Amino acid sequence: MGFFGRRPRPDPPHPRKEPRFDGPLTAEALAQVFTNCVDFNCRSILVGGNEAFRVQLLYLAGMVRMERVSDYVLRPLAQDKALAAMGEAVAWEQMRAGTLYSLTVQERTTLDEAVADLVEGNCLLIFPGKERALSFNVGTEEKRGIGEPENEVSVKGPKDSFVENLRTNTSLVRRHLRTADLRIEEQVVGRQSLTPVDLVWVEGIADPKTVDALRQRLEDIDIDALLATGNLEEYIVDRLDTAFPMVMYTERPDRFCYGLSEGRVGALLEGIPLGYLAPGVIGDFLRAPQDRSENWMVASALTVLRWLCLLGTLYLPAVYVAMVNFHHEMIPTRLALSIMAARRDVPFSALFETLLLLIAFEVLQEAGLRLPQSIGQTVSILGGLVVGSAAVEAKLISPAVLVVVAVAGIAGYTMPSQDLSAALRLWRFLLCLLAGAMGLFGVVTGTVLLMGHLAGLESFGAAYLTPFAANAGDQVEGHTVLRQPLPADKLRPAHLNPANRRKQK
Amino acid sequence: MKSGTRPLLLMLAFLLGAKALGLLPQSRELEEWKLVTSLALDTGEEAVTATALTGVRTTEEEEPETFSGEGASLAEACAALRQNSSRRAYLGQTQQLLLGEGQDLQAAMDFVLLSREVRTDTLLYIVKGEAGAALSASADKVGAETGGQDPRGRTVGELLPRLSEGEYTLTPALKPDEKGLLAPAGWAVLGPGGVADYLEGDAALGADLLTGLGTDQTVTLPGGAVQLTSVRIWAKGGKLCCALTARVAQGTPGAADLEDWGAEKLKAALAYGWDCWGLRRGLAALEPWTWESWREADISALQVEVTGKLVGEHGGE
Repeated sequence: MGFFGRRPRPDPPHPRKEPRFDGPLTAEALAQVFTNCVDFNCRSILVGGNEAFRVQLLYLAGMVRMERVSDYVLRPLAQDKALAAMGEAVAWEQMRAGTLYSLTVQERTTLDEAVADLVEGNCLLIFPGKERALSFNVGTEEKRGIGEPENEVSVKGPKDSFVENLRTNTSLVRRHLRTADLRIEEQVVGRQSLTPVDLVWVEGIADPKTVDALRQRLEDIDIDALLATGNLEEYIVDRLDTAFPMVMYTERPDRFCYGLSEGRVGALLEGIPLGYLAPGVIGDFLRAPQDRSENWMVASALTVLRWLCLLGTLYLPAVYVAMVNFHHEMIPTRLALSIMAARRDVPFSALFETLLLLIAFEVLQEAGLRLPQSIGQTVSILGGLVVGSAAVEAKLISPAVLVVVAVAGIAGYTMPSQDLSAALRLWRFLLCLLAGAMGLFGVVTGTVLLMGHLAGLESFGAAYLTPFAANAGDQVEGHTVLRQPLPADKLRPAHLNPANRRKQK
Repeated sequence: MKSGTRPLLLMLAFLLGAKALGLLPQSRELEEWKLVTSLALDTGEEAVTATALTGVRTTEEEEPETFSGEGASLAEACAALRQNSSRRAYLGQTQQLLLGEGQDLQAAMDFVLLSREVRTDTLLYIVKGEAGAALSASADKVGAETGGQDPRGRTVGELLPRLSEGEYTLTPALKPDEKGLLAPAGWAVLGPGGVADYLEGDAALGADLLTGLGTDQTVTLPGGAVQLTSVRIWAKGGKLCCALTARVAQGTPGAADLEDWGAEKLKAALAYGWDCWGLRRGLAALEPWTWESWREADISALQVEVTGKLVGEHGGE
């Protein structure tokens, strides 16, 4: 970093070689590609025991299911005398037509395709002297079983959740949304990881512009590996200069499918047990998955509670700092006297004390997350109760600030989206600093900054503050915070710009 | 960085810069203050004395502290008061403002209105005698009672509208008892010229009824005792009507006795002739064309009609 700005970084070229592997499709060329790969196997086989008719079988151990290779490829090749007798050209055509027992068989003519198939878990059959191969799908299907969602607990609803296997996830979606209009389009992202990413939408409901936009953004991703959620999120969102989540994610197929049926566009990734939905606006992040399973009045009350908790987690420490430092007249006399008595021997200022506790809260949370669950809980209890009580006893912090930070922290946990909760925690620090500098004036300034920031955000063309803003002065449809009884909720959200707005009679 | 974020960051930088240059309000930690909960003002022959009492929580083992300051004016006295305090005195939590006998009411009101700290929801009391000395003597009692709200109390904000209209109003009066502690002493009648009179004894009880207070009060009647449960006052046909409901607490008192008791107390309060309750306006409101005659009417000659209703101990009539 230079004194007057960032020193320009060297920007080396980032060429993309197309095709990645060039040359003739031969067993030798493939062996060259997989040099020093212990899992690469190349075996020469006599077809029907005929010494004059040899083929090469290539596969990556661990990526293929050995029984399938042995039973459905090797056994017919080795034992079928008819194949050996019909000659290489005819045998090739017969195998391509299905003589060998494999669900899919494809002819490959380029080295690039052959390499990709081997990595996918296919085995290749190469005839000597021919620069082409037959590719059989014999991949292993080792995967985690479909379990209950861990982070989005379902009390009254389906108990299945996405897993790491993409095809399993698409099947889960198909089982929930049996319409033939469900479209699943695949792209491969990541130069090294070659991760399949499926774009999912319901034709005739989703806005084609959103589908195109997401498709284009996925196409534009040119990274080494798509291995973490951030690898996708940060490349498909509209803005990166915000802590607020711009796309929704869920591990529950029912929620994912409900989003699709409302007109959202989804994305599923190989290796990530989550489904992404776009666009995402602030109201979406305050709706819990079980809201639609509960009575509409209960769900509405809980949503109002969540909005109040949002305000609480954001403003409580800041308002406390502002009141204790600037606006003493706002505090009821009894409370003021209590705070005074509690803070008398505390060596730190109210602002420093609050920031200290907020940071301690974050540290505890981080420690709890990083450690194994049993130890994490112990750390939380030790940190929250023992250290907190000891700090109050030792007059390092006052009980009032401990209560304020704890209440704000717990209120943050009521957010259905942990991404939103994290963004609020970040802004909570800023508001606290502003409150410490300027009192309520600072809090209001921070609120203006926050509102300005949120008002400037868009997710795939939808204003982030929808439905509070960007309705062009029109009456807001339905309810903004409360949930309508489902029979009265006739239309799909307007901000999704669905091709078909009406969703029920 | 998007263009939308830059103005926000510039605004933030500007505000923090303004703070660093001292252009924005400076903070002061709560515990750096002396939290004044009661303030007494006395005007002597030569100087005005302001006496402050700090509040304490009853659960804390701490003594309330009194300190005072003198000056040629109220503002000067308060400035001296701040100097005499070990920590800076904060008047923003003042719950009670006690004015000694002879204290200029208008000056006190002006002080509250102009002060950046003292609020108009401060309760105003008139002390018969020297307010500062009485407050110092009652420090233990008054200082620990900061949380309670006196139902009879009248805030400066409530009193100001009638006073500014040139009308009369009431505020509770206090006086030191034989031990020097502040004790209730009826009502002080406040007018444009300051304290006009005091209502004590039966007149104070009548004033309680006219003010809508007096419920939960136990009244001894010829046939027993009752506890007032509701008091309702209204004007009708040029008369002042009052409906009293009471629960029988002892013996077999009659409703007529309760009515007599109520009429006696009301007449005692009206006998002083001060319309502190806006009775004239209330009476004229029903027949606006009679306002001219009501404006100068003698309030002490007002007809009073009291209806009493007794209910049994368990609610039965």
